[in-house]
Amino acid sequence: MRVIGALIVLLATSPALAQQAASAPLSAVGTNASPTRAIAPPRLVTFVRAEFPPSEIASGQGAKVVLQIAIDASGQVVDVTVIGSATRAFDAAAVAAAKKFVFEPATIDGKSIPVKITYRYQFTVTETLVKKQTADFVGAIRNRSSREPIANVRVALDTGQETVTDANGRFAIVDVQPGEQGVTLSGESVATVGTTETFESGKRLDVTYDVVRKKEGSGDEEEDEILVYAMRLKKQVVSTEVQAAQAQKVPGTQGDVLKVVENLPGVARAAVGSGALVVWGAAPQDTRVYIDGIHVPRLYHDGGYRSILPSAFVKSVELIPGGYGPGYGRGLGGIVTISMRPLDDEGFHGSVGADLIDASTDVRVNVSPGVHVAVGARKSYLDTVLSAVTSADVGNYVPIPRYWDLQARLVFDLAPHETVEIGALASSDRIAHTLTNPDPSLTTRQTTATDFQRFYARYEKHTVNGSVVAVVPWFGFDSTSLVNVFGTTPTDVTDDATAIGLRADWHGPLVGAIRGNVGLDAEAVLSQLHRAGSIGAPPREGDEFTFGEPPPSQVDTDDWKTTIVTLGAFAEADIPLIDDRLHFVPGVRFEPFLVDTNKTRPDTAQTGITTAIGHARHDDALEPRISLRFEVTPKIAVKAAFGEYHQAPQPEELSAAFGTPVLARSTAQHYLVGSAFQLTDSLAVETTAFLSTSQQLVVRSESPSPYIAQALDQTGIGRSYGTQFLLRQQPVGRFFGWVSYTIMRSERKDSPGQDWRLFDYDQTHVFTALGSYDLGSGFEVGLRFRYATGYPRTPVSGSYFDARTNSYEPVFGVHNGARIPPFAALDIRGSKRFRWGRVQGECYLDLQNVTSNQNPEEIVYNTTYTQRGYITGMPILPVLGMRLTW
Amino acid sequence: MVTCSPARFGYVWAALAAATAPACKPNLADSVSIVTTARVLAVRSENDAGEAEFAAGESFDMTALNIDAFGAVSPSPLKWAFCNDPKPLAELGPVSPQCLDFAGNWFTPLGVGNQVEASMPETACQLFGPEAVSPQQRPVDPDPTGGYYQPVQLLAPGSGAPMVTIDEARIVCTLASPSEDVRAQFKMEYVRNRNPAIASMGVIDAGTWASASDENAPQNRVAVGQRVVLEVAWPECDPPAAPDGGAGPAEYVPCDGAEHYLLFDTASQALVDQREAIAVAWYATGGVFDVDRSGRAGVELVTSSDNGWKAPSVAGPVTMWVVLRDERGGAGWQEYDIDVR
Repeated sequence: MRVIGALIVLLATSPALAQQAASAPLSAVGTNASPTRAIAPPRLVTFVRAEFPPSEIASGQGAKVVLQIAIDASGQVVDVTVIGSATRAFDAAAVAAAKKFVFEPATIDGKSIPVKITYRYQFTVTETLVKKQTADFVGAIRNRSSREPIANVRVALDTGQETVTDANGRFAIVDVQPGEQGVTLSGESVATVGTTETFESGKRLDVTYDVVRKKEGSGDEEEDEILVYAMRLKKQVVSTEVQAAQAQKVPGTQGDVLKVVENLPGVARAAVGSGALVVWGAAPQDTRVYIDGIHVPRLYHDGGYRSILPSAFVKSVELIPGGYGPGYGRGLGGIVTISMRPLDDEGFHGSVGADLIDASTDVRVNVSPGVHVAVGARKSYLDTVLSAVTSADVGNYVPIPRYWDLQARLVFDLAPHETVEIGALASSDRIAHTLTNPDPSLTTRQTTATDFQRFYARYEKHTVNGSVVAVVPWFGFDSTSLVNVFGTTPTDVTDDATAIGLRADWHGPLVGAIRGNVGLDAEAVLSQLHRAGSIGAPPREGDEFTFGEPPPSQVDTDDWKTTIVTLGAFAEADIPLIDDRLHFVPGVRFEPFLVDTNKTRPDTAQTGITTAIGHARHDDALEPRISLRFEVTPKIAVKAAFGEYHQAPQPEELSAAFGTPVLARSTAQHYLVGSAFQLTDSLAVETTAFLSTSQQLVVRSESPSPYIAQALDQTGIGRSYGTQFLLRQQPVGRFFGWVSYTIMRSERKDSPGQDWRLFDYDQTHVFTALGSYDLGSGFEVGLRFRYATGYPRTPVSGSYFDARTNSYEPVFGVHNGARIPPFAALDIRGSKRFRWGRVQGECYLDLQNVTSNQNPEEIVYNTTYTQRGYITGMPILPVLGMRLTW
Repeated sequence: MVTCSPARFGYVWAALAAATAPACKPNLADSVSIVTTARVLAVRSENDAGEAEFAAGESFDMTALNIDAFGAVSPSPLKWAFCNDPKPLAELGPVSPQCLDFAGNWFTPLGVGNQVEASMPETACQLFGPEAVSPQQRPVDPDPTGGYYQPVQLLAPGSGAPMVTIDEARIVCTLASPSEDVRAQFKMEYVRNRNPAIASMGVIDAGTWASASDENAPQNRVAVGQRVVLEVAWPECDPPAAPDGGAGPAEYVPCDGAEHYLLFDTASQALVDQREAIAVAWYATGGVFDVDRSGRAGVELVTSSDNGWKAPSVAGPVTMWVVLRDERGGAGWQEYDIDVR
């Protein structure tokens, strides 16, 4: 964004001149006036200011246009003729304004008559030292493919201001109210697209939009999208945002927009089929996912094949791996925010898609003016496909996830920039798997069920001064159930939770150029849990075990309830300094944590306790968040941030039998510095170095005889540090892509006296390079290459025979002292778009691991632990799919 | 070698289920049923009353099925010791890692040989059971049968460091229930476990085999390369007799098979009747078994289990051991000499 400074050029027309002109001598028309008659000239009662032509701004010159205005007997302007021309632009602006004038009609002897008057319209350029309180918006619109300017594109702001690009594709809108404003581009030659810009008072925002030009009758249709090239005022110091249209084309995602997150810098490659989100070395549960401000418990369905929100509902997804502002909290790791796609203004739209894994559909309807409805659904059938092509009982051998999800949205337009939305999201996952064995002690059964629902309302208003108010109350239900039976050792964990939340957020101009963001972010989770089985199953981070090892045979049981209430109030100010080159963004989040459990002692052990005694813990967290962004040159910026974060214990950790009911919150600090280089208008490189430290992490008690209800301690500390790089080519011509690389190390100490050990999710190198190229005629091809260091594992150095259970038990070496070998895979995506009337279609083939690289995913041992091998991922995974949209 | 077909058995696929993804598992040498090196195959603990669980201070014998590389009972002296180090809560193995050490003051030596006499330590229920030293300490969790176990270390001389085998002797402790009535009922009705015993063993439809201890029995013969289906059976055990008139205690009958036993169900906080599962481990000095292990779950009323065995392709004597293990830590075995010709 170009800095203009305090010396502002004020472009204006002069009402005084107009009034003067309105009083100019008139010549009566169509009548022979008698000198004895009483003649009254017309009097201007409604004056309309002419817009200073944008195309004339750059000249810095004013102009004078003389008009002849014909006024009828009612005082209405019926015709305007230029009799003293300046330029075409000035003439047009003057005529347009004059046509909106309203007069008190001229009279003769009290009788209204039509007249013509001469009117001189003066456009002046005035320099003033007064600080301008509004922003100017200038830029250019180009053909995305050819980079040629496009004329006659309408550029409209949410404020109602609009203009049309000139022959050079240039436009300018002056006096834009500061704040976030929606920008809509439309015209005969381009598809209607929109984006959002942030305007600052006294500043000029200069952008270049590359848009897709309509091709009449061509089957080579593009998704509507807008690509913006400008140094942007980013909300977060480090974040990566991907628009839906782009994310859908990334190889390996099978068109699932949210799966693109796996390819972003700072994100570790998930373990095979886990779909776990590991960001900057934080545990998966430390990174939170929000959909338009609503917290959802997961991003992906089981197996990681699909996200929980279909692409048709997604506008964009943003990953903020750390150092984020005070608007979010409760997690020690990063956040993923998903923006839902605005519903269509008119018509009946939708899509139907299917591939080998699942099928989905959605419908979007504008049921009446200002009322929009969208519903969507998706269901998997991978189990049916595999049963048909392999054997009917394949599910007994290969775990196959079954899932569905539903979405419903109802949006009311209360006013042009004021909406209320009511919606619901639901997701369900099931896995059932039984592996029988001649020895019943080796028979295994596994059943998992994971469901969540969210019901929400969302009120949002954009005001003319650039403020945005959003209020999102929501509630929902989360339930998880894990039932594993390893021989006679059961594992039964269920958690039924009710979640309630409220997010109220205001951001807009505060004082002068300072922008603010204040809000309330409240969340309550009421959980009812049951757990039976071994304390070692499911395993925790830091446990030493081998893949597939049976859990310890000691069992216990517990039923308990927890209530975790957090009430985050936050405030942030974006203070521009040094001619807007430095943005100092201090913020704070104050968040009381209330953790309540209904039981502090187990009632199954020999405690003599039969009546549950609860416990409530209240901790206040004051979390400073500070970020700095300094624009060294228009193309080089440096940045830094610090933030403190807290996270409540997980409800399952608050068991009196399996955990510790009195756990406090954990704490983390994020430190990061980085730089951004805009190499070209579409190519940028970002580098961020980060350090995350954490304390009071929950770990297993190392004591052989811990106190009752203290199976977990909070003595763990952690640190993650590294650097991430992102070289990103925005779509230029037919190509887009990026290269991301993260080098990092994540370590833990389970107690202060121990040495640092590698965190279970540590990955030293994570490299992703991807690109997509439009071949024309609807054909598109994409490539993705990934390389990632394997996760740490504790090596087995020996074994011994357990005569009671007739099993060999491992003897472990250095904790996490070995790694799974690295992963490398090349994926290819090919697609063809086509059009049948109003219907657009796309067929795609997504080939994962085309080189059939046998990537080790886990280390396994033979029965006696004398041999070791690797479980490898599938050699090649082809996914053929098709989607129709209208 | 990697295969994308499901493994025959094992926990690995169950773990893959947790990972929820198709994947390929390597083929590793998983069979342990053919004895080629000196090994301890099983350990049996028993007192004079034939019981296989013991209260603190009670004496009992421990016997190891200790085989040398040639299939004979190994003359190598096993060094026995109680390991009195409780395992940390974070330890997911069956015993404390300290129990794998070769010396330490947490060991109570028991003697040397394939059989030793021991006395259950007085601290067993405190260190490894529900009777924590301090009422503030977390009691040890029982296994799914309600049992607690005293670790026992067996050291066998190896070519380098001694080879470690761990056994666990079942302890009789006070029931971990907050209800005095339940504790009293349990004390009255619970019958200690007995080691399972083999009732018969042989080739299906071809008669039973004589055990090696029966010197007068005819030779067990199998043709070279012949595949036979072996069946091992154990005694049928009666369910507990109903209380007399519904008022007296249930009568659990000691038995050498899949016994019924009284279990304190921690979920319902009540005493329930359970039936043991029986696991069978098959060992031989030659040939190939279909599976290393077989057995019956507690809910299966069948009192036998079978397994295929293909005799070696070379004539000669083969020694086979069939080991029964019940869920409550009991073990019993028989040895069979087979003439493969």
